[in-house]
Amino acid sequence: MEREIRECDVLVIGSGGAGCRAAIEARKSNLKVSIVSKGLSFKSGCTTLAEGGYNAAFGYVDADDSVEAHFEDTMKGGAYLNDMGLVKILVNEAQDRLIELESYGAIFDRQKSGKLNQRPFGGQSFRRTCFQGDRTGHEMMMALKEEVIRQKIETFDEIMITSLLMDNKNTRVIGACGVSLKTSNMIIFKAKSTIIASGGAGWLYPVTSNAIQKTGDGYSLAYNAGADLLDMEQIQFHPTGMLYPESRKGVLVTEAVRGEGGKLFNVGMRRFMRNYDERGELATRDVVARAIYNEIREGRGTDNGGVYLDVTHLPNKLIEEKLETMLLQFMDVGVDIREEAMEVAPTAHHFMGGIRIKHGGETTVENLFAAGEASGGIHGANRLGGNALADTQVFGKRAGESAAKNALSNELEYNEEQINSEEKRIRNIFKDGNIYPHQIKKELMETMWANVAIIRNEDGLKSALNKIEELKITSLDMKVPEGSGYNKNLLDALEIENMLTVASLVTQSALVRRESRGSHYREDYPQKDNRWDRSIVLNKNKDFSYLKRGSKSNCRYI
Amino acid sequence: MKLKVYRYHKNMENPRYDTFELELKPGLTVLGALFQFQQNFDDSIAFHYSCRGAVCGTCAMLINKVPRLACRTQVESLLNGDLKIPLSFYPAIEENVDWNPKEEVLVEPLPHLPVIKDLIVDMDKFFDYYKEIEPVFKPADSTPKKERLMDPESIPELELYTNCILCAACFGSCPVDGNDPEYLGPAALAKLYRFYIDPREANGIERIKTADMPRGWWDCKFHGNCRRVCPKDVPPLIAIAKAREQLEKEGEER
Repeated sequence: MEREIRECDVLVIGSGGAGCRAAIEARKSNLKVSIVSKGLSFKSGCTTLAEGGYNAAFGYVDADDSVEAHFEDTMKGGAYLNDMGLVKILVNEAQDRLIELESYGAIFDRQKSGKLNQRPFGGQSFRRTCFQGDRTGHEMMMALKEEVIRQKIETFDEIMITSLLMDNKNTRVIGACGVSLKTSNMIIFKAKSTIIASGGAGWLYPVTSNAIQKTGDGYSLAYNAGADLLDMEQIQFHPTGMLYPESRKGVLVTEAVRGEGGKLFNVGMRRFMRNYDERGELATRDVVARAIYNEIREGRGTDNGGVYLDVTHLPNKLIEEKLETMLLQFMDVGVDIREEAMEVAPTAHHFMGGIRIKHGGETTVENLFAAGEASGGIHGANRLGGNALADTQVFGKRAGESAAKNALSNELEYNEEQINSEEKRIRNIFKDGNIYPHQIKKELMETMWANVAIIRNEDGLKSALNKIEELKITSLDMKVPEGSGYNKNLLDALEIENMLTVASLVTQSALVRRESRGSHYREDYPQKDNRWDRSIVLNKNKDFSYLKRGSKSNCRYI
Repeated sequence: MKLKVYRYHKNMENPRYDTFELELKPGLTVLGALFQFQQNFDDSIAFHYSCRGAVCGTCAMLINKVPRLACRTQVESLLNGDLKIPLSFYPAIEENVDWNPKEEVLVEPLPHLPVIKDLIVDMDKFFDYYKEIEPVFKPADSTPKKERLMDPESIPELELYTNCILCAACFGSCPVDGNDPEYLGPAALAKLYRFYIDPREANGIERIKTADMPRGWWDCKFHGNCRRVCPKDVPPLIAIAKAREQLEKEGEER
């Protein structure tokens, strides 16, 4: 294999909202910063896809709003599993980070007075969500991209990082090894600090709102390097994703559809939400997702495995004005939502858990930092809409700052031995085995969907864990022909290793948590249990450990 | 139905076309058809994709001789002839391939950019031109502690241009880009105009002077293909016309 070696002070893995913000901050110390992406730079993260908005308690629309209220809503939404210190930082710094985005050129919606506009969002006591139509994430990404260009930060497209490079004592991260998807050659980045900002793992499931690149690579990289991960069982399923056609499965159908009066029906054309919650269609995300899932599971779903979301009773004018994006999104696939119902099902949306971080984005491993969805602890057991975009900026900046500081007092190192063994590992992937990697992916996704999704129980989780172990063995016999570049089988094979690692962590963590909290629902333990006011920490080199979390009574903004 | 796909890699002397038959299901997009091609016919095919929802701008390609996003183009509508877009002619859309539009969907790489493999083109030139117009916000004042006030009335016009997802469909549809490889192209110019009209910037006419050169504002022949193919309805030709008007007015005043 040909080898290319590059050097930088700070390496950022991922070019979404958190990665770009981290890079911009690190660059301020006049360091050499490189951003590497598995897909095309700036285009393959989930920030671009974000529709709704960015929470910051400016109090411009509702003067009574405050950072204290933002804190309390976030803790309550997260079922008090959140790291209080991180939440405090989030609410305190979200406003300044938004103003910085404007200084990079982003435009947010305005009130008549010229001040920022703020919209209401689920689980929030005040109108707090700043936005740009239903393209908030796109607007942010354009501004971040343009700031990255202004700062002359290097970007590398289509390189999948396959492992973190460790020093010879295996305790400190000294860069990363990757494979160029264009050429299948190996690329090594020597770096004084490395930041993981590669997002979540929606593609553990066959139905997800995430960009296709989101296979949990960052969690796997960090775990293999010996970093702590936490709350991996906490995965938010958005109640309504597109079900069809196949190539758009899981693409988000915004909550605004129900907000404007959309009704949910099962296959018998019965409205079912009130059987589950008196708030009907406007109950919280976890409740609506579980209700839909249950209808499908009990045989009241459509042939495609969904339910109907209907707005045909609403005036055309309202649909055209307030649900314009949805109208176009379905029109693209031949469904006129003014005339017929949408078919929807819950879709894997956001990992609240992830790499354990301190206040500056430091992980538990030296020289390694994390930000955005790759990190965990901020959103507890359930994330509020609008808090993820804020998270990317607040913690992206902090991680960039810490990584720069760390790099300034650090030297570049090299570990030839590890690079050789990584090369050997990758070479060994090329084999004429009996099963294509995409077939293993498919089996894994189906297992996760059936047993580790919206409703979980001990038997299902155990069978999933067995299946995952079985697939790990099957994956030793993959069919991966060598190819000059753009080798889909190689990409799938590299991804499946990460996916199996992460799937196993999610499932183990879900087995351990014998209660229901936030997005994690155990039908065998359907109640919240105060003994579980703690986060579950996973580490390759240790047994499970726990971190004490707050509860409603001791959750205070001080 | 059949998918007819352009195939090329650097060891091939000439490109070829592969045809693959698949079942037409309602709602099938060209991206969906390509995934089927990859899984059931030839997994060595290369194409770009990411979001599946027409927001990332990764999957622009030439579909039935029109640059479009594969993820939002429906096969059924193509076969019915519902998605015909009349374009001003340029060589890349010449009907030089034998294909039956009633039964087949023709998929080729985006024109005017070098093909790396199959449907993947090298986007460097497109992004170099975008960078050349300095797509960075240059506010009139230093960064204030609070946000700059903005008249909400000023936003809709800006939005016309900020909606651009840099997919390069316009670049691949522009006859001038085909003729003059140095032409900055519709996306870069529309982006420059977006900064010019941003009320928070106060660089006036200086901003648009960055492209006051033959390969900038003055190369456009108003074919209008850019606007017709844009998946986000961005109107670069309006930006170009208005910028020229400003530059001409300034020239007269001087």
